[in-house]
Amino acid sequence: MRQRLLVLDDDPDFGSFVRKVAEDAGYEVTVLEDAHAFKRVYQQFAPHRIVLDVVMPEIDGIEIMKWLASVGNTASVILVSGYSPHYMKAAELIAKSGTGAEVTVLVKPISISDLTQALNN
Amino acid sequence: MHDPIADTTGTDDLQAESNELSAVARFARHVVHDFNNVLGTALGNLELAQTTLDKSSDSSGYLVKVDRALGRAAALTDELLLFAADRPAHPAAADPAAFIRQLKPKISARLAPGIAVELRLSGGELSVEVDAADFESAVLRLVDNAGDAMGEEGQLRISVEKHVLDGRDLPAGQSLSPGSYVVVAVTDNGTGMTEEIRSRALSPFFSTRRRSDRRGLGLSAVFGFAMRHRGGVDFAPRTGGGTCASLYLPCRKVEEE
Repeated sequence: MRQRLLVLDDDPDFGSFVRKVAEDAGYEVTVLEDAHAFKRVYQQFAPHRIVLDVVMPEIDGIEIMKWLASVGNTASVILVSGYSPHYMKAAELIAKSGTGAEVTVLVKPISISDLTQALNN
Repeated sequence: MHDPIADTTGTDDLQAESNELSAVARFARHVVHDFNNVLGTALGNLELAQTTLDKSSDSSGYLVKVDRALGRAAALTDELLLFAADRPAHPAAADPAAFIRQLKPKISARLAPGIAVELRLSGGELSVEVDAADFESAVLRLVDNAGDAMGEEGQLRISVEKHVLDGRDLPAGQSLSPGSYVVVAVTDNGTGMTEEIRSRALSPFFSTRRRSDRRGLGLSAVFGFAMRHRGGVDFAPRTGGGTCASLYLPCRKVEEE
């Protein structure tokens, strides 16, 4: 069975980059730009792994991390951001304190090899 | 070593400069974040494009040039963070005297052969919490600055000692809280700084250097290092000519207890 990857990033051109790399790594991928759809799609898609932009215009990525912890998320999470150490740290702490799901932090720009390595870990 | 406590010359100017630099650093962090998002999309898709193209094609050659240009932009955001990052990436306890002693070969290698290096390291046990790579970069930038001021010959002294500052004797122009500090002082007998240069020394991309390989953030990266470690940096004229640059770092609390 293919692993499922759910990607949330408000930049569709970055999302398509992640999709291509992840599909080449063998994932079944769903990419979302709209954070409001995340909760619904998460429940339906039941991802094994999540790529999440921590800072988005409409919804704070930390809110999503809190929600993931509240629903007992076990999918490993790859947090991506341009540079937001406070957000990244907070989101990482929330993720780790919640369910024990693995958390990886990547700072953009991200190479194909770095992303592939994070997806394969 | 210069006694910053006794010197209040230009206090208001230095404080204003420090406040302004803190505001610039906040602005720079936002710029870096947004710019890295753009670079993430551009470089990621560029790399995908390069994997699909014949490497001998004209298009591939053009994309190599785009890659180089975007790589320089990414390096610039990394450089900006040396100034603007608001917290250490990998803080860990360090003995500042031992750190400087181990750094001496690198320090000497950056200076002209005619410059003598003297270390005056405090005998007592001192401890600071720093990002080691960041600390090394800050000290070496101070050394570079001193080396440029001396040219081919001179004397460089690096001292490490403890200072206790109370509420009445905080150094001029610094955003330091009362408490115990390790002071790493880099003193040269070079050309010295004019008051104008001293007031602008910490500004990003300000330089009096002719060497293009040492332009860039320069001493503003030292300011950034000091700020994210809750310390400060101060420049003062040395008696007899030259400059004393003092880097203040809070003593680790465990050492104070």
